[in-house]
Formats: sequence, structure tokens, C-alpha cells
Amino acid sequence: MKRPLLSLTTVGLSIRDETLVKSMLQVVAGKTASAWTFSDGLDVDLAFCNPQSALVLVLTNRANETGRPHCVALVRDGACAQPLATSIHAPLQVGAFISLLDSVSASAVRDRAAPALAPTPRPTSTLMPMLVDDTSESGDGFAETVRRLAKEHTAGTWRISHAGLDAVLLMPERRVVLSVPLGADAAAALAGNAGCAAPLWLDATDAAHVREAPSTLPLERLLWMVGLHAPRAAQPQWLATARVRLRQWPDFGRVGMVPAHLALSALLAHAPHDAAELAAASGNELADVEAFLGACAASGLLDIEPGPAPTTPAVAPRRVSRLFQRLRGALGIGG
Amino acid sequence: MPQEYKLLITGSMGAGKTTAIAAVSDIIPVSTDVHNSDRTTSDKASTTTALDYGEVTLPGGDKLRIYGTPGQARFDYMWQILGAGALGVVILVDNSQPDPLADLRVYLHAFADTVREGRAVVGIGRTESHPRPDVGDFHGVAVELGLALPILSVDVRRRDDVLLLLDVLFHQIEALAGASRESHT
Repeated sequence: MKRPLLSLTTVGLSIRDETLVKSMLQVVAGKTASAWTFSDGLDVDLAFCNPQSALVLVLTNRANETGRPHCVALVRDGACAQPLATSIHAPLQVGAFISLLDSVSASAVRDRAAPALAPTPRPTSTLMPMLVDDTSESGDGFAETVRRLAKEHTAGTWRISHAGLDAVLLMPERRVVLSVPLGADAAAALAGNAGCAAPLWLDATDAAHVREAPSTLPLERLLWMVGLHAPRAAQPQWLATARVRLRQWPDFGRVGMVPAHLALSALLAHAPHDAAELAAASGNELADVEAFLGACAASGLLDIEPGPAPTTPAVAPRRVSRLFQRLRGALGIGG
Repeated sequence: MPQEYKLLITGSMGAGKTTAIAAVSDIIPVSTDVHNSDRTTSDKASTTTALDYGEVTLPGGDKLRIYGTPGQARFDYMWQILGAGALGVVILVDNSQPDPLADLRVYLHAFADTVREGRAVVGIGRTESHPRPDVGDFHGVAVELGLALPILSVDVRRRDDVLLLLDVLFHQIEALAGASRESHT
């Protein structure tokens, strides 16, 4: 199937940064969902902008009226992206560049296919059409909604209101601002069974206020805590009995580390276990293992193994040798 | 007779190998730094030309010797030499570089056997200032190569993060060795 052809330009950038964008376009050729070409005009789908340029206002007014172009601030460390809501940092990275192009491509292609459904522009300071992610109307829980949002949107600022709490997701930083400190009670409330409300995209003005929040936490930690402290009734029904395998290790650098979770992760990454098997193999309480599995499930890290459990019960493995105990002792590692 | 064990820390120039070794070594690490002649690849003023060395002394006099490989590609022949007989390898990636996914591919290729044996862990640095690509993207690179290993966001300037990488590595090796013992009973 022929890839759609989209165009991009630069506005107000230095020669160095314009050359950077053009070079990156060549590097990613063939790796994006759509084919992209550089244009010197303003009738384009995507514009990399110096947010301080006077032309940005012209471009954003055009975007409000026609839905094009998608304006992205190209900024370096310490620079402010305002008044633009979307930014990308220089030096450009291939992965981030591809993600941005694919994200813009998805909405641009959709708008071209069904122009009558394109968002109605608002005569306000909104710099992008307001987008409501309506995919969560199916009754998905909070964790599922957050995971889907993070997968589908690599830019923008999104608010999710659930269980009387507000969570604002900052993309592409993958960080979250919560209306309350994230303790066990708040996490349990967010894990509640009721379907989660649709996320709302915040415009530049609202997003700027949120980004000034004194503290944020990694998105991964939010999901981990929600799963770890979810009430039994809010856990996936298959969690207690299904044999699961860890598809990907938890990013303990972002979710926070409990020593017992390292051993559980190692066992589950190597072979499938159900909760009872994992508790026996690790020597942990079943309730703690189920909480760990809940955190992995909320984070989208588990694969369910098909088929029945083996007839031979698993033997609880002991630590390999005294070597690692001695190494941990010498290094001051607990657990 | 005291036993000696070896651990390898590898990764591209500027990824934090020297810093990571310094965070855990009992001795002041030996570091062979010289002026960096390749400022287009990395803006560091100095870089390691041969290798870094640190050690941890265990009760009874046994030693864990920690080697940091030179990050420059022209020294890649040393990676296999240094890796032979190692307990495991820690791969550090700098997420602020232009193509950190490609950087990881280089080291996963170079240490593929060690990774398949479950004796490797990856630490991604500078994710706070450069959140993309994310850990899921790096995991995708490993999956593409038919490999699986822990990949964590870390800041090797923090000793606890370096210890986290080592502890994850130790747990991996223990889990696989325990499973291996089961299969032979």
C-alpha cells in the first residue's frame, strides 16, 4: 500500500537547526508511517518552529482555521516552548523524530480521509484543535486508559479525572502530576473498578500551568503503584490462577525498588508461574506476590501462558551460592 | 588461595562507565584518560583509551575485579577479551546521544552470547532530560535481536542506581542457575 505523502517546514529556526531537521528527514526516510518531504512554503502538515518567531502567530492562526499545520517548537535545554504546546528537544533523536512524524501523520491522514469529522477550531488561544481521546468509553479502567494514552500520544498534555482525583500526563516527558500525593490510598482509589473517563487534551494555557507544578512522578511509577495497591476486587480476574510470564522487566529505576520484587522479576522473566508457584519459589507471602503481579499487570508487562500447569510441582530454588550473598554484603546491597 | 571474579561494564563513550565503577569500587579506580580527539562523536574533554579498573574485596580476601571497556569503537576487539570468564556485563547507554537505540544494538551484538546466558543488564542514562526513546523502545531492540534482558533507567552518578543494576544482574544469574539445577535433578 502506497504511503501517504506529507510535508513539513521550518519557521524561524537558525540555519543550523533547519539543516538539522533536513538531515534528520533524510535519516528517517523509509522508516516513518508516511513519506515526508521538506517544503519552503507554509501549506504543510508539520512545522518545526522557533517559538519566539513572529511567524508562529501567523501559523497558529492558520492552524486554528484549517487544522494545518501541526506546530512543534524545536527547543534546546532550558528554552521555553511557549506559546506552543508541543515541543521536541534538540539535539534531535531518531526515535523521537520518527514518533513525532508518525503521531502527526496519524491525525493528518485521518483528517484527510474524513474531513467532515475534523475538529472544529476554537477562536481562543488554543494552538491545536482540541482532541478528546474517546477510546476509553469502552469502560476501561484507569491503568488501561493511561497505558493506551501513552502508547498512542507521544506529545501533548492530557488530564484524566477518576475517582475524584485528577492526573495530568505530560508527554513526551512521560511524567504525571497528581492532584494528591501518590500514596497507597490514592493508588487504590485510582484502581477502582469503575470505567475511567475519557482523557482530555489540555490547551497551551492550561498545560503551562500544570508544567509549573513543583513535583511530578514518572508515569511508570503511577501505573506500578495503582496495580500494587489495587483492591482484590479491582485486580484482573485471571491474576490469581493464570500462569504468567514477565515479558519485560519493570523499570525499577522509575517505579522504585523493593528487594523482593527483584527476585520475583527474575523468576517470572525466566519461566511462567502462577501466583502460588511464584510464592513457593520465592518464599514470599501469597498476598505480596499477588500485589506484585497486579503491579506488573497494570504496567502491561505480563504475558499469559496458554495451556495447563505442569503436573510436576515446581521446586523452590535456593540461592545459587554464597558468592552473591558475599557480593551483596560487600557492596551493601540489602535483600 | 583467594578467588577472583570479574565483572564488565561497557557502553558508548560518555555513557558513565568510569562513574559507575567509581561508585562501587573499594579502591580509587584506575582510569587511563587522555584528551578526546573525537569531539564530533562526544563532547567530553577526556575519554578512556584503554580501560577502567576498580575492585571490591570480599570477606576472606576474594576479589571482584570490575573492568570498564573503552567506549570508542576502534577498541571493540578488547570487549571480547575482557568479557571472557566474566560473571556478567553491565551495558550503559546514554539516552542523550543521537541514536541510542543503535548504540544498544552494537553492544547487544558484541555480547549476544552473554546476554543469551542471562548474564547481562542494561542501564539507560539521562532519561530525565531525554525521555525518548523510552525503555519500551529499547526492549523492542532486544526483542528484534531475539534477546531478553532487564533494561532500567538509571543515573550512575547515584551509587544506589549502580547497585540496583548489579543486584538485578545477580538475581538474574541466580534464577537461571536455580532453574538449571532443577533440570538436572
